Amino acid sequence: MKDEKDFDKWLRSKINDLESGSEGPSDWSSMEKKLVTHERARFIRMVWPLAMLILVMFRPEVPTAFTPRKPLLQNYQEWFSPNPEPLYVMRKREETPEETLKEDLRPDEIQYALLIQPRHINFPTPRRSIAMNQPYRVDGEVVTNEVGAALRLFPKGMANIYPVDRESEKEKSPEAKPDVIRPLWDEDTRWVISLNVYPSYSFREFMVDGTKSQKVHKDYAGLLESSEKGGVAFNAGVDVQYRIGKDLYLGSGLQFIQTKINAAYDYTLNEVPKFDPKNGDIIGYTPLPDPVHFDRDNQNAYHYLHVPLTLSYKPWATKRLQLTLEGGAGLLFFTGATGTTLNYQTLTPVDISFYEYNKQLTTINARIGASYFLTRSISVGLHPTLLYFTESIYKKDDMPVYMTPFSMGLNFNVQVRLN
Amino acid sequence: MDSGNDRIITLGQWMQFLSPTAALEAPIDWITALKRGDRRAQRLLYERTAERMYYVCLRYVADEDIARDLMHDGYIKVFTKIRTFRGDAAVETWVTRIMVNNALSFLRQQKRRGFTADIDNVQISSSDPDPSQVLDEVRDLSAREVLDAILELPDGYRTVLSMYVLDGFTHKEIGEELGISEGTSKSQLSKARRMLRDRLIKKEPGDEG
Repeated sequence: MKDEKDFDKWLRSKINDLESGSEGPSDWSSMEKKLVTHERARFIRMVWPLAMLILVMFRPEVPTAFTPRKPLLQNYQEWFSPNPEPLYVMRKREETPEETLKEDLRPDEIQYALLIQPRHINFPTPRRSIAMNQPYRVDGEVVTNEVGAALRLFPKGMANIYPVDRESEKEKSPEAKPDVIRPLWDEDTRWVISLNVYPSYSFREFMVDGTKSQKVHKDYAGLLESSEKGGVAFNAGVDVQYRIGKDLYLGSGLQFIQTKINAAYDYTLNEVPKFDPKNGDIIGYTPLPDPVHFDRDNQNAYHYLHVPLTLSYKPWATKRLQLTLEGGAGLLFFTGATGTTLNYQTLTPVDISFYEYNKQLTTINARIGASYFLTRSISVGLHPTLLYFTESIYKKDDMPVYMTPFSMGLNFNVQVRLN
Repeated sequence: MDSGNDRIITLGQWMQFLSPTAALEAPIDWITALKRGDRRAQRLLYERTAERMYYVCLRYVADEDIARDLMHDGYIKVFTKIRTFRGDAAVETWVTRIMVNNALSFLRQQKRRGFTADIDNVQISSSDPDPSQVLDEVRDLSAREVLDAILELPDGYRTVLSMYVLDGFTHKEIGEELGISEGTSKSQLSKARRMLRDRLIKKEPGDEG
């Protein structure tokens, strides 16, 4: 026992001599470079969700087509009282081109709208003609036909406006909807919440790192390509969008994302690789005296939480339909994987958790589609959606195989507008 | 008490740290600077300890390139986790523990991928030479030759030997880290010592190869 302790002591002193010597890499510059890269990546990971939240919560002032503030009736009267000045003077002072009004207005309507336009508010874009020759009731008070007509060019919700000559209809049917001139989609709301459910079909780009191919069984790539095919997965999530411009929305959310691969392994293992114990390289293959046959079907599922940051553009609409173009990036947080895959060295089936996965990934996503408005605040949409992973799902440290999934889905969503 | 002045490292304190006789029983203010992410403090820690940590990593992975990468990764962890350093032990001891854990984590990954040799299949000579006799014979070997002999050991033996003899882990701690029983740890250490003695005897003093 004492001899062993002496031996250990001698060993310790020898190694201490070596370790306190002057050899070894202590070059700070290469260390600092790695440290800076790490700190930068860490900072981006920490700040990204925060920046997204701040952007959504405290958006910078973006000019919009109208004020969301609900004015009092006297403001209406003040703002819209017919200007006594001649029309040509008014046009010059306001510098509001006629083309801001839609062509479906009659020329006399355009002239009138320009005349009564308040100086401090941008004129909204009307989508339907206004009736000129009748009085209107605004918030319970009858106003002149000119004021009423002008108000009807403004977003619904600023006042309850309808022509006086339809009052009898309204009294008969108190539940009847107010006469809406603007299309349903022409929103005066800022926040939109969407519930999304959608099936998607998963694909993946599979690649063996050329510089590490000696670590991978020679038949692995071919066998995997022929045995694993895309599968259908179901995704769900909640999105929040905030209006930052007339047709622009900034959005984020939380989605449960899956990618699925259908695997059907049916192959015979005739040989096993021989490894170099120093570095794990495959240096040859040994034939098996008794070949082993594998026949196994299963589905591999990879689960993620997705936090997207998107910009939506809604360039076209009718009264009830609205087109959406959306693009953005996102952060994926890996939550787990189930199923069976092949060991890239031995070709034997292994549990999918055998490999290590990147805990965080980034994505690019895009979708295009249409929403149909059931009411002013609720719409349903169908949006073909593309989600592309920007990097391999495997940890790259010494993994010689890359797998980058992408999916095509048909997003069915229900959107609720909050005011 | 963390007053504003506590955050300033005086020249004397820097000199204390820079002094070749100063052990890494780091002064409190220096630790504070590290915790603040002060680059100068990080550099000093690195330059004072990197050589040793490189060999610590090398002892576990037996590959110079991997050891260098592991050491860099280890220092990133050190600088990230320095806030959790409570000062119970010397900084160098704490850094060594992180390096060892990092190297063990790497070895676990390798093992899962089937890169490591199976210890049970390693042949050890049945005769165990007398340790004191061996010590007399190998005493004049250079430190590098001794390290080379350690690096030639199979992963499992080298790991247990490094942890117990060189890095001060107990068998209980080794068992917990490697997922083996204390008895297995002791038995592997015994076999590792025998195999190492075997290899040391075969080395001629001055033969660096």
